[in-house]
Amino acid sequence: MGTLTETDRTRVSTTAAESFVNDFYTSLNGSRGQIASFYVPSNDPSTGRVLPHISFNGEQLQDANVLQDRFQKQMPWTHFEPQSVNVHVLNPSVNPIDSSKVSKRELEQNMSFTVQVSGYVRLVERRDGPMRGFSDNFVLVPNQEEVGGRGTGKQGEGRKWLIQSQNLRFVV
Amino acid sequence: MASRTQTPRNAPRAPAAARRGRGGRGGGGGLRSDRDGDLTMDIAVKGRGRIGKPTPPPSASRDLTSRISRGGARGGSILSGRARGAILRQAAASDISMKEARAPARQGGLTELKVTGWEKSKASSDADGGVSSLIKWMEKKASHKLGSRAKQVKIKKSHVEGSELVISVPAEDVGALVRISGYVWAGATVKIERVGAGTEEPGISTADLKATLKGVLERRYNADTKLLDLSALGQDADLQKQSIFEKKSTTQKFFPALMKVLEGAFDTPAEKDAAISSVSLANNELVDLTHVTTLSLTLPKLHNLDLSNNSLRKLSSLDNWRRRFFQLEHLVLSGNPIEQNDPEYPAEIMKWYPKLRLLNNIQVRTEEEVNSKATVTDLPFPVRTPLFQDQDGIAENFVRTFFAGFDSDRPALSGHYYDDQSDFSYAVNTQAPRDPAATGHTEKQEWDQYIKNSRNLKKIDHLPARTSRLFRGTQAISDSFASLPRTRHPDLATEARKWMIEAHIQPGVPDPSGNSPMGVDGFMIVVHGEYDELDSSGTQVTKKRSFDRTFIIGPGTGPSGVRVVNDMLTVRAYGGAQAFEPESVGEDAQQQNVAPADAVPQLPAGLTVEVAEQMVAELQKQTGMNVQFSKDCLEAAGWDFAKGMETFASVKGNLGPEAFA
Repeated sequence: MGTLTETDRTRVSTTAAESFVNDFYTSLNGSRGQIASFYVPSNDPSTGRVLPHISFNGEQLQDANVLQDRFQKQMPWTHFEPQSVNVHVLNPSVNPIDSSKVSKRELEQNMSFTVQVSGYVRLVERRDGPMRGFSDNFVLVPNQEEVGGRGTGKQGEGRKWLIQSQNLRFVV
Repeated sequence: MASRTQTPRNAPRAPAAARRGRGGRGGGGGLRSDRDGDLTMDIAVKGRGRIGKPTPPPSASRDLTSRISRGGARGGSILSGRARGAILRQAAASDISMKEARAPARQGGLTELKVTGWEKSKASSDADGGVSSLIKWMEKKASHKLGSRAKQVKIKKSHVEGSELVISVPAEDVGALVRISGYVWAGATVKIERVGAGTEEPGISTADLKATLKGVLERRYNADTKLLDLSALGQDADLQKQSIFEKKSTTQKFFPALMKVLEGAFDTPAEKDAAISSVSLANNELVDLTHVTTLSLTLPKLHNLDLSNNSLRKLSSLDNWRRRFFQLEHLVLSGNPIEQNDPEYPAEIMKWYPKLRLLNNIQVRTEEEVNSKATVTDLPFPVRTPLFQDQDGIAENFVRTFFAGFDSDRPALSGHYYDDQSDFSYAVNTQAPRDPAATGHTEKQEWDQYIKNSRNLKKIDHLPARTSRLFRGTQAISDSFASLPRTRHPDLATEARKWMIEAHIQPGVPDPSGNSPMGVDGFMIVVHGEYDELDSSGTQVTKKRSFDRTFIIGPGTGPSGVRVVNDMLTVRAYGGAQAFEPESVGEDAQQQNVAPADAVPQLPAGLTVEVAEQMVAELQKQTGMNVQFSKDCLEAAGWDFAKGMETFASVKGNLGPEAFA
């Protein structure tokens, strides 16, 4: 029924990346109580794999709640400013679905993305605070129960994409 | 330098004597030789040993000052060359024009002033009664050295009329000379006033106040050490004369006004920052920083600050400057109640000032620590060693092969790792922060060769451009690689510090064989580093860039067995490698100690620790050697047991009893 052209892929991935980047850093800077909601729920540790994979400056964090907690309780004022954003489609078909039987919208919501961000973060205070350059990398997966998400709800009100992997580093 | 500042401190009366002595020596040379030869010396003496100054500087502030003066030798080279030129260019500004109008006697552009009270000086025994020394002294004192328009004052003519010395000076210098009236010269208080003006009682008019403040700043500034000594302001004779500290309202307004006058003296903030690197606010009875807080706005780049012997009781008393003075290197807080009230305060102060090296003259950070962690401020995510979660060396091999190939043979590389479903794109971050260690001018970045295909979504918002700047398939990727400048990356082994390479297993990577519809495991590899950009011949380095490169790799059907799914490159201005240095050195060292590789360093691939231990035990049993010799023997034999036995047989005769103990 539906097929995705190259342009469709670019449209969906770039739109998703832009709104994700905007919301995510806004949350790091200003609404830290929301941070954990950007990640896929923690998986069953008995599988021997820790997801989401969250790495900040070389430290692998146990789960998104640890990250949120540190931001809420220990992180000083920050202003993350993404200066460059790029995205690729990682997997155009995350779950096996018969493309002839589903709508284009379902196909669009069945992709995963790799997002690369380069920017700076101002620490402690506006203008005069110390500044670091950072590089942040994400794998975003659709918010579906099949990939461990809770779904976007009946009205599609939840986040459409969640972080499955993140690697952040200060690079300057 | 040090001895020069030492002298006046130990012998407060020395300056006058020294000046007199110099006056005699330079007497034949006149004004020029005096200025050229002795200016530095006089400035170094200035303010410190002032005879008229009621309170001597406290010991703590002395220490800061002496340190500064030692440091000043360094900065002095900049200033001493230019201090007499640039900083000493000066014109006494607005206050003069007002006074000029009142000046009664004019002679061809010169104004006459009468000087009294000088006869009883210690220089009165000089041949001319001390007149020539007095004139030189007045010229020096009245000269402006603080500000963008620093300038020498010249006394053109002079004659003695009884107890009066009448001098003629250009109109614009009148204000400067009148301002030093009341200063003490060689033990005598010298009064300088306009001829016919009578005894003037200064009221607090704006112009007078401004002139007073300017005089205070001039008198308390030491161009050699770049120190502005604002200590014990309440004891300042000039300020007392103006009754500034008698009323609360003027007390509050005084310091901001002083800062305003200071700012007015300079054309640009850069000149101001270059001229003043140290400020002393010692002995000012400060209970907090409310009255003096404007200092941080006027001199935000201060390196040395002396707050000793005030009444600062706790950290919150200093709160106004908590987020100021990011360049501060030396702070003196001794002689404040905070020392007793909060013994832990140094730790907090260190967090406030990331470049602080000395606190109360005690070293709290080394130069190296400051440089390596210039921007770190106690974050809950300290920089650690790379998190590299590999399996069977796949990610490591990929990185080694990839960057060598990218530098030497990009077409071969694209055939090796990329297939028709691989994609590549790059983005330029033209605004990225630059190397914090870089000094001097910032090089032009010149992104021409990159910009036309940069896929930075922050800049490129049209869908067709976004689509066309993504390269899919071996050929398109190979063409795109060819369009990028030639590169030379640092060596992965010998220049490992210039790299930051991390990897982890990434599930859900597409399976090209189609056997796993849910996707397979691959790796996400994130590489941060730098490269030299080369010209088309590949020999000349044209630029140094930093980059971030993110790969998703998965199992492939090509020659390497590995395929690139996504390859994303960000190119940015060179940002240095210091961000990759781990902060928690102790912790990381511990981690390395528990690594098995350290315990058994020379085990060949495929040999586990258990097997090795069994081999050692067996050799011990068969030869009677102790553990250490058995282990050494096996290591020498490359962990081949039979060879180990042969080795033992060949050296047996030479082994001493310690081998078998």
